[in-house]
Amino acid sequence: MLNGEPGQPIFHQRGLRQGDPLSPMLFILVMDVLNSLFTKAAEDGLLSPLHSIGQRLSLYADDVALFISSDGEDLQLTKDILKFFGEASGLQTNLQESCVIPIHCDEGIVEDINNTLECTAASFPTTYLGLPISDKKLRRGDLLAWIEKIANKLPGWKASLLTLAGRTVLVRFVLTAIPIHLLVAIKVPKWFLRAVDKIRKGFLWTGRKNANGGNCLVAWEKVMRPIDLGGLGIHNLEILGWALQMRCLWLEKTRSDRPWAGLQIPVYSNTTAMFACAITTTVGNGRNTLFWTDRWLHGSCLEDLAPNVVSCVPLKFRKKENSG
Amino acid sequence: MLAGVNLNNTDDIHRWKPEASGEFSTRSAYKNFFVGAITFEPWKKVWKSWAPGKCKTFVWLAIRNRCWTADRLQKRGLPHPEHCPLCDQEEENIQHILTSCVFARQFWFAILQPLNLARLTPTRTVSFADWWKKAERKLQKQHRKGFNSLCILGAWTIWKHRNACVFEGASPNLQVAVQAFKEESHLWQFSGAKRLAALSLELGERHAH
Repeated sequence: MLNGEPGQPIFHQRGLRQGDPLSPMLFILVMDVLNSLFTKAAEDGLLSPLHSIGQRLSLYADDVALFISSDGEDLQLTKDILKFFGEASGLQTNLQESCVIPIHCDEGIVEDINNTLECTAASFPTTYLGLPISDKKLRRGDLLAWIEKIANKLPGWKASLLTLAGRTVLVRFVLTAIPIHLLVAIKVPKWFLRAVDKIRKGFLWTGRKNANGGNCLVAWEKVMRPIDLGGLGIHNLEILGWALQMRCLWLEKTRSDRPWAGLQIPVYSNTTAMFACAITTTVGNGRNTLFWTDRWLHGSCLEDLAPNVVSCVPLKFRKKENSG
Repeated sequence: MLAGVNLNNTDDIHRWKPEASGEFSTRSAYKNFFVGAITFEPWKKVWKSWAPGKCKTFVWLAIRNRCWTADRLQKRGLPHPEHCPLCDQEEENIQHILTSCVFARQFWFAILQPLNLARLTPTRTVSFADWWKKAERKLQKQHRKGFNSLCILGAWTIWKHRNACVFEGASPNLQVAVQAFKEESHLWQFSGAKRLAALSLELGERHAH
């Protein structure tokens, strides 16, 4: 029944349960076709090329992000491909539910997009895979939703019936775990960390959102240390952010086939510094090693071994030159 | 210097030093930011012993001098008992309550004696953490874990007794405290404090013979 009228009978023979290990494979089988369609179109010159982005399509379950240039023909073609794909696979794109976000586009073009694609126009910031994305710096309002998400956990917990130890566990493994997803992906501002800390601190000592000085028996800086250093093992979000971002650098170094490799990843300066001194490189063909900065010579970098030589070479030149 | 470096056709190998395997892990990256920090000496005794979380947290606070005892209340101008509620002789602070107080020392003697460990009873001047550290060292390795549980339980019992005296108007009574300790100890052993059970079994038996 659809809108009160009986439609054609549906024959349902086999299905997969949610969480079935087969489903991601089936998903890849089907969605690969969509990717191929777009790749083919780009290869044949039907879609104008995009600069800087290697991948047109980013798929994760029901979240799809598609990058196209704002050309009239490109838009029409995209619509056709989606329609074609929908007819072939039964996976119709719901254009009303989708939205177009212009990245550095003129006003007039936005109109065009709306006319061709018939979907809602939106603007940054938006969310993809639960992460706020914007072409500008994220503003306070964009991240407030996360703070609220964390704060909303508290009323459900019977804090007055919990001991300090019980609350420690909740803070360590629940409240701290929520922002990790965000910390991996983006460089969060300091005020955000402070706001999360305020909630964590308040809950730990009083079970409420706010705590005043007298409630806190141990300085928060000390509480946040690992247990062997005299804290309660609650993670320091700032340092955790640095550590999580280091993973990006590591993957960029070791798995350079990742689609995002080569993009400038914004990381904290502490991350870069710690990363540089925590890896050593054994040179093979030298393709993936930075001659000037990586530690490839007996576990040290050129700057340590021959600082005078390095300072003689202009910085511009050092940045350009890759491997020796 | 370049002698050891040969360019060949294999890929460059990057090693992540903080992890033995050379593979990156966020855990080791996070830990690496704390390299060189001062260790909290008794952390293993406090957190790796068998004891309920609330007791461990209490001991952690006690070692850090952060329990609401008279000295801290006085500093903030809050109402506080004039003398230690357990011995009524000296001013109260957490180290006094747990080890140097007459009541506390009698209590420790009473619970250590059945284990033939009466020689470990704290002296008048020692702080709780120091006493614990030294006492643990005098024991054989296999008894240490059980002893650590016992220390946490003992400290917790004294603190409970002190709170009963301050807030519920009970009067300090060694028998009551030792009895509470014994009951709690049985409960802990029932719920899985194996080392504590082994300690009282092995050391206790030897005493009986």
